[in-house]
Amino acid sequence: MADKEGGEVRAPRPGRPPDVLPLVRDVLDKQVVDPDGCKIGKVDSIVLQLRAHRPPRVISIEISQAAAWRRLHTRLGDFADWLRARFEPGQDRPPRVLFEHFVRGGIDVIVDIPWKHTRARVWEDWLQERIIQRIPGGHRGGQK
Amino acid sequence: MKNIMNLALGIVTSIGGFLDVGAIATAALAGAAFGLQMMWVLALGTICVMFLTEMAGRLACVSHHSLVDAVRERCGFRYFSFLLVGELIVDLLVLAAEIGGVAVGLHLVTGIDYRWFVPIVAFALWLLIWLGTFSIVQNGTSLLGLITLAFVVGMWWMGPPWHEALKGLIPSAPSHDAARYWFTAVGIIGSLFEPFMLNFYASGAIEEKWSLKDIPMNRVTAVLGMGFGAIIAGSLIILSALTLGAHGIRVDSYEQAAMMMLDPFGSWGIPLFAACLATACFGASLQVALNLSYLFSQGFGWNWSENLKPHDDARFALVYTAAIPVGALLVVVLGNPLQITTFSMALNALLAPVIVFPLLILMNDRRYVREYRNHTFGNVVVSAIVVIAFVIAAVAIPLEVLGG
Repeated sequence: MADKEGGEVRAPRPGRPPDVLPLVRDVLDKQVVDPDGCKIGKVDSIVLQLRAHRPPRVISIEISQAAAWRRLHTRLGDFADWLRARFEPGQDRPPRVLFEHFVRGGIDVIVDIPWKHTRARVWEDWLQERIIQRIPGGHRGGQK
Repeated sequence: MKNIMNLALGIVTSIGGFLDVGAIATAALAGAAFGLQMMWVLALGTICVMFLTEMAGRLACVSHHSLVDAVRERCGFRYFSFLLVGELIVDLLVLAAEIGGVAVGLHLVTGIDYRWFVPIVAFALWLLIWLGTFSIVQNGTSLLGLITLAFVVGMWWMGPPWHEALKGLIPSAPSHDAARYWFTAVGIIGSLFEPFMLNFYASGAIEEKWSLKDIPMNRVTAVLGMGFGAIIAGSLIILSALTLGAHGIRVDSYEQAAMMMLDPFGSWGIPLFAACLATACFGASLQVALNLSYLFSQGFGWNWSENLKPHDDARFALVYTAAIPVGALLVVVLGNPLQITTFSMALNALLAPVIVFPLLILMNDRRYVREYRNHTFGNVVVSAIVVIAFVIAAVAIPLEVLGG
């Protein structure tokens, strides 16, 4: 059933158990949006936790260039990961959003955590501080 | 009254999007070399682009997702990466061609080497995007672009052979120089199928907050805007045929193309051509530079809007800030802007299927377009366009070698 506002799919199709979430269709590659409507990034990867004698469990979504490029080729992913580790300011591991913050999927993935509490926008903040603010007209936010 | 004004503005901006350095260059080349024989290519391409633009706009109105957004989400990262790399290369070359077009326009008026104008044009371009809102960028330059109506006036002044022009609408094989004929045809189609234009149009619809109630306006804008744009491009072909073609001038540079305005306008002809070229190219270069920012921001899910101050979408601002100097550098390094234009138009044709094919999927996906999805006729048309795009992409590079 399609939601009238944004096409999010919430209800299952006939014949499917009610608690099924098709991860590849409704989560992977989708836009991640926080409660205020801020764009956090795309879901570049979905992380599962392997557990002894129990089925794997989805624990987080990853918003990371390295994860995205790794899906194309391992070496591209490794290279992006090396770049991230070498140059990304104040980062030592890829930004992940725990799956417990997941609200719903569809054509957008809505999470209940504000972007400021994620580490997905570290480059945005770094660019704001180090470059954009130093150019005339770049020190204040809001609408133009 | 407000709706009529919005509609008029929408049509004007679509004309602005239609007529850029590629359309001017390929139309001038076609008219000079093959007379009115290639009018059918322009007509075919215009019909295709009307459908594609309407679909890209409808997608944005219903889903509030742009084409690039939806391609990444629906077709996955692997497909998106092809689009990203392809469009990055093509858009940078088109940006170079557009900046070159403005610089050549200024050169035609002043006589100073066009390379001196390249950094000035690039800075003006960046400054306008940095400070301007979407409507200033889009509507302001498009209104200035109405000066290109001078091509229609010039064509009218020359007394066009309407019968010949209508005959040109029927597809025909070339009587001479077949490789060059088909290469020019690919260039015309490439100038119309510019991938940046479809995503820019959809992104613009989101910037302007179009919604379901704007679907009829989107349809009218796509048809009339592209239609009027085609009338100007058609006038250029006719004018070029009646002036350059009649005098046996083969267009190898913009200086030669400018001579088409001498017969109808006398000594004002060259400055008028220069003004048309510069304004049309400046408007288009704004669109290409912004589209590169849209491409990265939408593909990787960053915050984006030309209406936000750069502080709030730093990565969006960084992309155009980096792309504009690269485009400017390419003009200086690669030389002859007309050759950059024709080459980038062939690359446009090569990339077209990558952006057109997903439309077939997206416009039938209920989650994106709900009950506003394509009907059978729309699907048949877009399937035909996909086939045309694939055929053109397959022959673009061989023809570039043989006829370019």
